[in-house]
Amino acid sequence: MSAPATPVSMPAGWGLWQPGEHGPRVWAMDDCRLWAHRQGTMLRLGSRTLAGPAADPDPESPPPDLAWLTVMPGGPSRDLELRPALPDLPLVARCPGTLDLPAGAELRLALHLPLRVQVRPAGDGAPWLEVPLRQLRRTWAGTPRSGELCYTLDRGADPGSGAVPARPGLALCPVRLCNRGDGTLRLDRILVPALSLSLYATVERLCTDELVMHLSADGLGTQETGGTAPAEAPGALRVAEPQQTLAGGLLGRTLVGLRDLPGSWRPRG
Amino acid sequence: MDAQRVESLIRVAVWLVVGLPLVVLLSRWARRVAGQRLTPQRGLVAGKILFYAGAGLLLVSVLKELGFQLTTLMGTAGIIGIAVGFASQTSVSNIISGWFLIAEEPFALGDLVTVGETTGIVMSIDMLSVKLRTQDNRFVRIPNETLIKETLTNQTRFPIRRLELPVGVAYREDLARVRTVLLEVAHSTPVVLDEPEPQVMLTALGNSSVDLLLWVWVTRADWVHARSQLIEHVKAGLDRAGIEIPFPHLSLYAGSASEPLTIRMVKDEPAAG
Repeated sequence: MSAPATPVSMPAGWGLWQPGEHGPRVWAMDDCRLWAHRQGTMLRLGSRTLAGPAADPDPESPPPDLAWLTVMPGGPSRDLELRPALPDLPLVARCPGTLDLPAGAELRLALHLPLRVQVRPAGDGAPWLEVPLRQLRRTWAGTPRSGELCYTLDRGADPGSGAVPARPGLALCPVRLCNRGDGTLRLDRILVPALSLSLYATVERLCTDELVMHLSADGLGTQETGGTAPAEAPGALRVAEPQQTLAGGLLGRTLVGLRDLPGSWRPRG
Repeated sequence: MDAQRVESLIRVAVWLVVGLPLVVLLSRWARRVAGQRLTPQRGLVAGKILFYAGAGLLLVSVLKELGFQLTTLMGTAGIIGIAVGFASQTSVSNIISGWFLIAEEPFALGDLVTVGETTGIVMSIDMLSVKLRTQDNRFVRIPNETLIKETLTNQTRFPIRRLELPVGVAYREDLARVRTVLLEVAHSTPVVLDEPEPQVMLTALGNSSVDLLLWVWVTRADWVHARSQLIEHVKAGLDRAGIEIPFPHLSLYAGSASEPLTIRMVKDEPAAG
């Protein structure tokens, strides 16, 4: 992923953050806890992604068995830079119930994609260290013979996205489904190519570009990304480029894979 | 030595000095390009074909340059070939089996295969044999003929695999609850995939336990350590839920079927003498 432009504004929690000088200081978002402690010229970092919100008895104190990473910052800044990043695998989201999409119809859904935090000393060219904000379960999209490893989205898709509230640690991903076939399509899962999406930020929320899926009656289709901030976040700045391009060869691959999932968008009748 | 003979020897030297490295370079190039564009295994085969064809041409050219009559040589080679053929049936069989293996492609370099009692990662596929590295780091050479004759299992051909874990619970346990606990355990084990969905099957009413089978799917990369992780989680999950994993029970009866044996404590007596 290429280095993004530094955004003017991002939701609270992201951007520059100062590590503890006299002891570890904790940065917390969702289930992620990141402890940082500056000792002279060295910086000690430790992180943990909790099993759930309940498993956090004392967030200020790092667990005794925490593995610490010691780094030597290259720049003059004493801060850490924290930026959001999309997951490193595609995501499978369940539709709210089973969705029937009539021929020629369009449907807009809102998904909330889990994020990872990328961290490094500010002004340093060092590689980013990555920590997931929540533990993700893995799933398989395709058949036992071929397919793709994905993460499961805990939260299903919300119908519509006009008044979707911002959630910390999650990026809003608007999905527009267009049935270009002659028959009704029945959908129960959507595979989101997270690696092909850009990430945008305003001071209120993080979001991705709109994902448009054109589906035909046989379950095949193409997908494209908007390439700009979605309508839900006008004026948002791009903070992360896609990790991979949605090339011609990949078009429809995801949808073809999904066709093999039990109950996935098969034409009715 | 006349001038013509010297000229011939110089030509042979040029053939060998230029031709041999050229053949080696060409075969390496073919291996790399075909390996990148197709599969490493096909790259290996392409490289070998080019090497043997090039070396054969080079040999024929050198012999011709040295004044050998190739027609006579072929005739002699035919007679020798019959004699050698009888003596090297196994080798010939292995070579032909090797070609069948290449055409059929039941495995590729890097696959984990089981042949008979041997399981290992394919290191190389050669003219006479396939070389494996076992998981405990032993080197195993399997003749190609054996691979054609025996049942071969490719453990890593497909990207995901089903893992089956037998679990026994006490007869008094509520099976619906056991099923729920096992599925929860499967969903909370990181290596287990959400889909294809984990399943619990009731397999037998055993001598000491109700036998179940937990089916989960994992990626081939996780296969080796998934079983251990799953067993650990299942044991912990059943313990937490207070579900008994019984050990074998044996009831002995004597005489009347309804009367169990009476167990009586006998005081230890010091051994006499």
